[in-house]
Amino acid sequence: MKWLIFIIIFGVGCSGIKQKSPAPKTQGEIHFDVKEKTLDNGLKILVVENKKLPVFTYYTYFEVGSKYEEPGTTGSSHLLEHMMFKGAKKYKEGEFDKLVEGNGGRNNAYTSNDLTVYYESLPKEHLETVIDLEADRMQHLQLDPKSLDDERKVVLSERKSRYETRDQGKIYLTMMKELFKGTPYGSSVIGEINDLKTVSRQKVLDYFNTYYQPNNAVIVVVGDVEAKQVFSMIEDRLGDVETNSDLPKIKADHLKKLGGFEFKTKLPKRVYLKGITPYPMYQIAFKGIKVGGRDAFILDILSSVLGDGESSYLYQNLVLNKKPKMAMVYAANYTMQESGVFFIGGQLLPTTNLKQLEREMKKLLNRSCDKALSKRALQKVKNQYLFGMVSSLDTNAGIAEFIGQRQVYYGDYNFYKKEMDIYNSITLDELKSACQKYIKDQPALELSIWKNH
Amino acid sequence: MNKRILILLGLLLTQSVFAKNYLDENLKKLKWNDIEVVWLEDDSLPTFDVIFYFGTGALADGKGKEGLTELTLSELTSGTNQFSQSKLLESLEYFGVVYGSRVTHEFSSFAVSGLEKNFSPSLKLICHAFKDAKFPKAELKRTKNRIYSGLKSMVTNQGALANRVFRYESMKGTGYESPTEGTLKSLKRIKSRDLKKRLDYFNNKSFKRIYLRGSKEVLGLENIVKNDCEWTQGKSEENKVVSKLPKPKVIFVPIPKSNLVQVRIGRSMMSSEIAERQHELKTFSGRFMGGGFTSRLMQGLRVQAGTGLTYSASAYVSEQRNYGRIGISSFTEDERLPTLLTAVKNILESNTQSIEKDVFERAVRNATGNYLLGLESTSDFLKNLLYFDHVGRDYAEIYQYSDKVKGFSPEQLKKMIAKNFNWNDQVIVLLGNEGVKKILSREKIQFVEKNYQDYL
Repeated sequence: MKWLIFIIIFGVGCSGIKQKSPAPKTQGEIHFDVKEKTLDNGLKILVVENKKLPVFTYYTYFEVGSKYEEPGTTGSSHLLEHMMFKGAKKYKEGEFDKLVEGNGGRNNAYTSNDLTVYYESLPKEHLETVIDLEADRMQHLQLDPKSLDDERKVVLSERKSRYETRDQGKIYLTMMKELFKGTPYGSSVIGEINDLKTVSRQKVLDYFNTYYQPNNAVIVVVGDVEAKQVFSMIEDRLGDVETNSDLPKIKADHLKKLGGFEFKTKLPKRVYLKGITPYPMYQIAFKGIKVGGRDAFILDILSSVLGDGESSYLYQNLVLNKKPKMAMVYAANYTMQESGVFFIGGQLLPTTNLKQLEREMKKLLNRSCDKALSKRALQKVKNQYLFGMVSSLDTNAGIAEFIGQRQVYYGDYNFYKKEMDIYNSITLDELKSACQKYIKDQPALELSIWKNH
Repeated sequence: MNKRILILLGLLLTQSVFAKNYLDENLKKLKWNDIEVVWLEDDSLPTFDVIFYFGTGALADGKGKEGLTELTLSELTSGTNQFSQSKLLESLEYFGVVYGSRVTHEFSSFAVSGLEKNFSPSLKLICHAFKDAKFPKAELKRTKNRIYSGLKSMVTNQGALANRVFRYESMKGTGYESPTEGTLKSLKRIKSRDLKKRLDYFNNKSFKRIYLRGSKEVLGLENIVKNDCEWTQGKSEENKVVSKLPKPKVIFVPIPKSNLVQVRIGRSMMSSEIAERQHELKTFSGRFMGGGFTSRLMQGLRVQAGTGLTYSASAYVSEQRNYGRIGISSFTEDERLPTLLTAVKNILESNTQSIEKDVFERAVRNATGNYLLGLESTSDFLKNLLYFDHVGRDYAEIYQYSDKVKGFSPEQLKKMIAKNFNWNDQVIVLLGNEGVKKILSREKIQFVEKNYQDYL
């Protein structure tokens, strides 16, 4: 296979259980044959030719997310994501889905604090149709007022189902709002109810015109395609689209105007939420860091050592030990382009006192810098990461996400090579230092949600 | 990419007389200790997938011990005579493998995936667990406590709770209604010895089949199955025939502080319906009504101007060997519930009367294309083979799917929709806050009120 070469990395040492011979240690790399072109207007296109099946996947990343929303317009990025399926100049409302699904494909999109991402997968003969559809809505979105009002209802319904009726969603939403208060990450991606109801069509249109620019987008195409043909078709439709070369500065100034990303929340802080869960859910969040630096990778590994899998430190100490306190526990290092949060949480068992759990959790976290961290635990996580990375590459969409995410977050689709080296090179000492620096005795935001609060 | 797989999957797009013969030649079937092995040779990634299939499912739990099969397989790693739970878990996770069980009423499976270089040690460990699991009482007690806590907390996940209630009510009396994970009552009755007995049954008496995906390296599983699992073949089991369905009704389940009404509409299928075959047409009818943005329900309830009744609406028609399920799933705000119910009814009925040509043709293209996309992952393809074997269908039907769907007519589809989604046959479950009762009464919708805790 030309486009993908696998050699095993991350040597696996012997398990604690006796084996006849240890797994061999080998070195190597993942490699994609990515063809790249950047148009004069800044639109970047990445193509991986994969002839496995006569299908392709087409991703468009726009570097705009909820962090760019001003007070009063929260939820606009996500609302706009919905509206991108509601009609443009050439393809009227409803035609996008009809053409994609009617040609045997599927499509969807998602919005985060940093990005809005659109993707379709279809049989290969419909490549030109997809490019035409995407080019049309990228330039000529209609934002019909009636459709916009209908879609507000849909988003409000989504908000209810994901967050308002789910205690897990509420606690996460509150954590982000509290920890990132006064920064652009302090507003929720789904938006505030009043903002969703009142944000004007003009404001949404202005938002679209500002951020849906060629030099703010990356297109990734993976599948049974010819790169030259992909470049040519996209350039034909989007090559002449004017772009705002000041956009990077506009974005930077805007983020500064919205408060910048320095943490402003005074910690420690304790938040109690009224919910419907019969047993408390608890979450503790520490100031994290943004994506890209070495510490970000170290914290990824730390979160997995602490809370990924049933043999993880917290799971063993809080769920599977002789006197369990929690029904489940998790840890995550959520890194975004400008900041991050390291959080741990879970659901208490019926017999567990919340205050006791808070004390126990903090004690465990403080101890974890010595007790949880070992060479074996570190190697275990590296092995898990390797499988996770490799197994995600089974489909065109998996490959497109893999290189697309690296392009937008690191500015380099090849970053996965450095990334793997970084993970592989992380030492136990570094893990311990990061634990001391970011977790041990660090002030934190604590939240709980419970019907009895 | 393995050429065999390329050709096999490529054939999905062609109507080839030669396809069947090629499939027979290139998909390897082996036998180890009389156990059939299906091997999908695929070296495109340095990973493996193994699925152990057992012809024993939750039906074998017996009355009063529902959840036994699922608990047995999930507790396999709770400790053996040789290794503690923490040691087992740590070793498996050290190898970076992902594993887990899936239990349906008719069959069970245990899947293991990982990097090929860790194939042998991880599968040996899994087989060791199958052979030697002792289900320590203390670990079992802790697991049960976690499950109880999860069930009692289900009120915070109203979608999942609605699914649970709907399963029970739409399948009541068929023998397939109980949740495979058990209930608060049934789990209390399950003891460590029950799990040992069930595992013993799996190992020595249950019908088995093994599914493999990977390079030739995965053939090393033969020795592991023979020497570590020590498995031999067991007997096939008869499953329960469904000859009677619950009466259509509306069930309302009040939930505290809910600001959405979960809506589930559907019914079970009788064994005689399964025996009629027409599998592709049945699933197509489900997809037509509720699969994707251009499906009839999504168009009618979310997309069309002036609606915006819901964020999500879906439908399915799915079959196992002896039973099947037909369902519609959605949610809406309290006050909009009557509008949504009326809209669903009208959409169902109108599509039994007429289907526009372009809508039909689009749905056909959608079905055939999506089917292909669904097989892109060779891991998913393996699961498809398992399903086909379980329900007794020929693999040839996989690549004949496209031709079959293209051969359907709107008339056939209308009839199938009328049969599957006849409004008068449906069980309707509504889950929402107390105030919904007034709305139902105002609309003169007769309902039976139930307590959600009765379903936990």
